[in-house]
Amino acid sequence: MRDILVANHLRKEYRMEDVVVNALNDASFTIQEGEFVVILGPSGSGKSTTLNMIGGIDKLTSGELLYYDREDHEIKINEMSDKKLVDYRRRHIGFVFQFYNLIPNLSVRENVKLAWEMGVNPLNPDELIDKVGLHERINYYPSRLSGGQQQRVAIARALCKNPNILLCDEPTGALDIHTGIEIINLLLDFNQTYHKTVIIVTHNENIAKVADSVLYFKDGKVSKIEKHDKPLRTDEVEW
Amino acid sequence: MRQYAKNVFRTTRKNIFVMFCVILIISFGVAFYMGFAFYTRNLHNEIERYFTECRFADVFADVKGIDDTQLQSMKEIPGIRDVFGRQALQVRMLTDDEDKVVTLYLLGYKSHDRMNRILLGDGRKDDIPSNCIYMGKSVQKVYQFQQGDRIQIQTNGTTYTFYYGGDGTMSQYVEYVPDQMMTVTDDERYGIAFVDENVLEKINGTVDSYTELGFTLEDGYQYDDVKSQLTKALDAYGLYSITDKANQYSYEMFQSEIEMYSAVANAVSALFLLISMFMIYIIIRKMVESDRSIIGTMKAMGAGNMELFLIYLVQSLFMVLIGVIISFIVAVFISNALYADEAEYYNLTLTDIQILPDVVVKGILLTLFTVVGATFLGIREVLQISPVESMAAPAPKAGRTVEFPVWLTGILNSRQNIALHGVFRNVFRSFAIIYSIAFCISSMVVMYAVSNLLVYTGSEQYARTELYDLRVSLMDYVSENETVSGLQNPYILHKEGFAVYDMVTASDTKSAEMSIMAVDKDSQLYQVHDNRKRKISIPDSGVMLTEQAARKLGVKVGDTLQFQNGEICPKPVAIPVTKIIEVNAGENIYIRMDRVPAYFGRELGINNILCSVAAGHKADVAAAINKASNVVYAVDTDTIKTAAYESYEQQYSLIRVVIYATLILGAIMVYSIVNITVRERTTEFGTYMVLGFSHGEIFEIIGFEQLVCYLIGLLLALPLVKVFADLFTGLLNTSEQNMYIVKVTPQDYIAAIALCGITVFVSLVFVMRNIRKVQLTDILKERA
Repeated sequence: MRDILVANHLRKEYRMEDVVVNALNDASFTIQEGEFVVILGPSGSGKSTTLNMIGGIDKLTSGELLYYDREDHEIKINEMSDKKLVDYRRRHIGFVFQFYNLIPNLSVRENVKLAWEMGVNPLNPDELIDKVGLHERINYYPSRLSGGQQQRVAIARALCKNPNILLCDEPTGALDIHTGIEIINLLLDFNQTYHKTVIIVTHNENIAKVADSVLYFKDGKVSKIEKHDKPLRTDEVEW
Repeated sequence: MRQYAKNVFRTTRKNIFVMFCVILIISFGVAFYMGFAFYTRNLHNEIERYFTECRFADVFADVKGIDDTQLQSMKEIPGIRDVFGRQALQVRMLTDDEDKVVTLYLLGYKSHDRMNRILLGDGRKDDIPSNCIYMGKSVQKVYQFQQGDRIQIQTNGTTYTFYYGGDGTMSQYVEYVPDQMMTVTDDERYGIAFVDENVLEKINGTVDSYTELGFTLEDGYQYDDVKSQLTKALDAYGLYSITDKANQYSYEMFQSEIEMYSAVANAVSALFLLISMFMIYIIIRKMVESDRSIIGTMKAMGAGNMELFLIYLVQSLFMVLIGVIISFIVAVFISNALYADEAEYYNLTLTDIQILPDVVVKGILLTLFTVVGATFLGIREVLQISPVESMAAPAPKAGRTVEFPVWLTGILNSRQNIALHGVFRNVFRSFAIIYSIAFCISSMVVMYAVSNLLVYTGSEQYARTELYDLRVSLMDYVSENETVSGLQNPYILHKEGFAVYDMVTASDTKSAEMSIMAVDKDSQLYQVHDNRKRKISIPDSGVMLTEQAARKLGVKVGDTLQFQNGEICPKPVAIPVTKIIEVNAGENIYIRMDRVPAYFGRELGINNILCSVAAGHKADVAAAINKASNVVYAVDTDTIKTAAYESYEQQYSLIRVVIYATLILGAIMVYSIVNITVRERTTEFGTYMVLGFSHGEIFEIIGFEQLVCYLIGLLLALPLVKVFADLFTGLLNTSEQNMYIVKVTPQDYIAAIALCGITVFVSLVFVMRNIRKVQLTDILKERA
């Protein structure tokens, strides 16, 4: 497997009045294409900041973050202009948010179709809705869906653009255990079916057990990298 | 991005009432602009066509008398292309009502008139039968003569009988006033009439002698090029007055009316569009604020700023489209309604207005600018939204913390303290409410003041100036001691002499036909007031001019004016300008009656007598006066006031429409802003409810907040009133004829404050109704 993301000495400082907070402090790691990666760590360890950097929605203070596209072109995320970042997010990145971030005025189908309209080589929205098991509720508005169902829509929406990397910020954080497992299964399924790189930020150590690779964050650094040659199945994990 | 556009449209739908109101406000603003532009431009074009059809002269002069050969010799003056003369005579029309004196300005009609043609209503082009009289449209409208009706006129003690032939118009006398004292027309008492010129010559006892002259100029020549030579040449024939087309009474009146309508319409449009711009800005900004997380998500998904901008702009364009359609329909309605009266009045051939494409384009651009401009201002916030905001629930905004004095917080209960801090916590939200209240109050105050100003101009100023009950206009000048038979009446309590002399008045640089009014030093019956309603004394020496007259003649205090009248002072008389006063309207020149001999070398006499009459005897006195043969007409002040009021009726109607529209507009704006700003806090109020606050207590919080905003808005309204008052003063004075001052009174404030207060209260009641409908379970489920 080839590398898809290489991070070298990432630093991110936030200034809050006179206080400087080092959200990332010399973090380095490599992620390979098609990996199911979990980023673990306590609050304030820099995991969400890392996700934001990979997603191109925030900018590094220093360091190098490289992305290799389908043609293996090297793209320096940290040197991209705002305009190029927009294009990068559009073509290569899919987001799944903790609070789903569905657009309340749009139905299930419309929410997914929104991503389809933005994608360069998008997947069929109806098929994806089928796959996440919401065909029956295709015309429902988010307010009529449960949290788990909303997250399924969010996953379908993220995948619809056909991104190389799927970034998930606490995708099960707002869900009960049972629904959380369903969502993880769905993400694993898509990781395997579409061969997409999935990066999940979570507090939940159990999710790490099903991952190919686990990045442990502490004080803005990668404190440990764990590789699983044979990750567990969700039904093998004691949730 | 069609799906996101759907989202934006659906979000807008939540504010559908407000959006609809905004579109209506824009539409009315643009409709005012387009409607009045259609009206004034069509009217202008048609009236110009009417003047052209009448072969309106370039220069007009009144003389004592000139024959055709002498008149033709004026063509020798370089620049004069053609000349024209007409006989005219002031006569009295006898009516069944003995109390009433109706004065007709009788003009000779010839079918082959080359200039200033009289257009007969029945389209008649040939000569008028010798026993027929045609009446001006305005008089005819009052008396409703039928063809063949017997009409008697009287002059120099002889009565002549005619039969009514029809109506007609004459471009020089679209509105006829017999002398400069009458600044308004009274169609019941004065008017124009036409008889065959040969018949008029017989009545007049003069053949081939013209009193009214018209001149056309060669191409490339202006009035100033011929004025000096022409004035000198006409002096020999007793020149009373000479003026160019631009200053001819009817033409000038028409032009200034159009200017004023355009100015007021533009101001009203600007006001409406400013309000709608503000409202769109608030709505869009609030939409963006509430959609921060969604916009962040869109950005995280790869949406660019421009794409998001475009969606909001497309929505604006939709509003523009609806606004333009509505405004166009309203504009056509307004312009047709206004134009219909004028078309009938001027007997215009064009009966429906023509749609002017350039006005429509300007209307579209105006709408586009307002909506897109406001939208752009509102969505600038999109640029500030980072995709990171999609990743987490928004942190509570750092509100402004204001420390209030302990004595203040001590006297307020906890809800009132929450409210007080609430006002200053979100400055933008509070500013929106405060500004809408200030805007509403200040525009209402100024509208009331403008309305009062017009009422004053139309009626009250006559009551202040003209304190007599009756004014008797005499055929000839008489000495003040000379008695008029009717004025011996015992019911006349007090009488004063008064004179109006029509003069060619010239400064070093300009000249114009003006009237000089000679008034008693201590007159009790005629008092001059300026535009600040102050009583003004006529100076002991020299003449006093209104600012409008001074402008027209290009003089200032210390300059000298030359007065000349073919009959009473054939040689120019120089009088210094010693005082210039500002009045709302009127190009007047005043001199003290007792100073007239000192300047003119002799007593010129009086031609008007002002009388105050014992209560209940005005009609008896008027009837007695009317029997005197040298009385031309008698005017009572009530008639003047009524006529003046009627002449301003159209302007009153317009201002009334504007006042009502401003009221509705202000109410909509205040309601919308209060509604939007309170609704976005549903979660906050829901939380209060969960904590155990009653609806009454929540109403107290919101009510107290609005009260604080209202009081601050009131303070902000004070400077805004000054701005609006200055704006309207400037607009009303677009014409050099006017020098209005929009003066605000405490009553204007009280009315506006009360109305705006009621609006805010009603808005709160509606808002509370919405808050009562809030489902607490939904509130608790919300993310932020």
